[in-house]
Amino acid sequence: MIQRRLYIYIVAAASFGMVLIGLINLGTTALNQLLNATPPYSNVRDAYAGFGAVILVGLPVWGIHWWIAQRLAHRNADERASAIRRLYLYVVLAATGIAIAVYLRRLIEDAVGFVLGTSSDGAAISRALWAVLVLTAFWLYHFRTADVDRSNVGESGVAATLRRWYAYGLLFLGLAFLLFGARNLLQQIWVLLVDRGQVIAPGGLVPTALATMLTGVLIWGFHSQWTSSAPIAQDDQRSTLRAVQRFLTLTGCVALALFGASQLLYYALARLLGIEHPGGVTTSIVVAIASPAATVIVFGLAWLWIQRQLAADAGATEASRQAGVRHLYTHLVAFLALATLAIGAAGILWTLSDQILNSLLHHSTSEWRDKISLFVTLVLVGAPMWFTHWRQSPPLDERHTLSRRLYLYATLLGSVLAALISGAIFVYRLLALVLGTSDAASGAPVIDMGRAMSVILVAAAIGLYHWRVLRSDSAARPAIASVLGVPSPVHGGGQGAGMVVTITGATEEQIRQALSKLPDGANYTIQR
Amino acid sequence: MGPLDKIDRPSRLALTGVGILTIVGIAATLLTGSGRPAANSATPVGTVTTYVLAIQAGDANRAWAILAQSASQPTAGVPPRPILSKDDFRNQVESSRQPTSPRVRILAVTQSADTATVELEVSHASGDPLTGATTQQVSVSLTRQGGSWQITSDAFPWQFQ
Repeated sequence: MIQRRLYIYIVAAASFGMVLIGLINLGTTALNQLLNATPPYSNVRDAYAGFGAVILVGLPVWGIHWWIAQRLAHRNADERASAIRRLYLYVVLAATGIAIAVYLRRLIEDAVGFVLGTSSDGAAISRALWAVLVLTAFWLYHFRTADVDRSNVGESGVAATLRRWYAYGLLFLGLAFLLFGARNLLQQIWVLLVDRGQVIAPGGLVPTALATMLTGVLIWGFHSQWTSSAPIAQDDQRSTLRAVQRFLTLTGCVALALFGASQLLYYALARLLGIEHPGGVTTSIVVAIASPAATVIVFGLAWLWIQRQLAADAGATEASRQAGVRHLYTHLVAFLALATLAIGAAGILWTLSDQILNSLLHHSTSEWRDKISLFVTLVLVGAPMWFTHWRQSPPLDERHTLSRRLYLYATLLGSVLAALISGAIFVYRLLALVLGTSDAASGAPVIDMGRAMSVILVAAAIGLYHWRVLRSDSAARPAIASVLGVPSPVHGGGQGAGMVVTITGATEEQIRQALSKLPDGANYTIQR
Repeated sequence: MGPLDKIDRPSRLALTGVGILTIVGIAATLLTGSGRPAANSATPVGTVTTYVLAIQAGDANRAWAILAQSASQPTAGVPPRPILSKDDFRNQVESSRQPTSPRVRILAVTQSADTATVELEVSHASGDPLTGATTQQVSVSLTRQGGSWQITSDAFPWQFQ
């Protein structure tokens, strides 16, 4: 059975790919000829022969195998519910969905560019339109087929997971298109508005960004509505893939918003310190800040938006899951903020060490204000973010969460690796100095040792602090005492009197979470 | 219940933002045409503007007319370069045309009595998600000939296409 299914769907997928490629290219070749456009192929007859052959072979093969697959699915519910069939359907949907995104973006870009006079290739619009129409027709057919299958035999286990991979993958792609398109569009608008007198030709940057954003809206909008409608919404409520997709997006948004904010502050600080062209920007500062400002606005808003979505998702589930999502979010932001703070602190020490050691060695000192502006900015962005998201001694329910342990161990790992690598460099340069290698006389090893020491100091400080937190967390964990004799149960009892409660049907973590809600001053011991 | 009522509030705000950005983006592009430097040969900036617009419109004859005769001629002390004829130039303009033209901005203008240099920033749309564009700087040299400015630097029409 499985071998037969594998054969049918593999052949169907391969021949379907041939049909799509043939149809799109044959259509675009014909359109080029009709519109008298420059064809991408030197010989049009060759193109007709090649793509015609691909269709003539692929179409009957796909037609026959797909007809067999449909006939078997009509006869047998197991066949319709099989994971291989769903794999075929969702792979085809994903491939055609991504291709639609690419061609739709091109179509909107060319059409808007044509209207605005920044693009003169009218034939490109027809070509992209043809590809979008062909792909959309096949995508709709397969989407409808998957929907019918779901209605008839349901979707659970591997089949549901495959659907989630498709849905949340496309949702992620659509959101990425939407956010990056919006960011680029905002940047271009900024440049065109503040530097209007200096722009000779606006070019196709606005249509390109606009096309990316609008394509993203369509792809994201459709899949967002689809996954939030019944019965898929209920089915995916506790889906790990759904949470992973949102946290991945959130991580990207937080990182980019912090990056943009750092760049903005860096430009501001550098200008305050009298740097005319911070970071080597050749354009005016008002134009240069367009990119970081657009990044902060778009990804900052997306950060808030996704955070609310996560809260809403958690709100629909039980309290422990809500708390888990909240903890994961705060620890994720704390980790990114700490990384920013650490790079800033190490960079400041690095730059200061360079200045001091170069002066002592009577070397010419490089420009320091630009670097100091950058690293102070990273500290200014990272420090408040870390202080507002990190808690050294949180309540017990947060203290032993997986996300906190992940944060602590990831930070420790990063610190240890940074200290190890810098330590090795420090010793290598120290040996070079002692043994008098070729560059020892110039003092280069001393400069390198100063730089390595900057990283070691910051990594050691962060590592030691988090190691102490980890130890403190371990100490705060209530001991699990194995007892030989179980005391007699006591029913009732006032405040201050000890009680023995026997709980069955719950895990230790669930019991700990329930007990963490006891009033301050209450003590308990868990015994097996 | 309409389809918009099913959309949650943050998503509706996002869609509103997309709508506003679309309108402002189109308006900003259209406004650029009215605010750009005048295309004439009376000033170095006007000459460069005329050249760039002619190249982007595919008007090789108008662009060629702005090039000084010495633009493609070998100069003393510099290795000889192939001389570009008008037909070669026209072929270059036609063959290098891209579906989407780049944005061209003036960065700086330095001018003396008979010579001038215009520094331009040329930004092509790219797949780079962080910037959405690749940017390069182009320096255009000009000389005053008979009251009007003409371009003396190498004519590379593909730079502006």
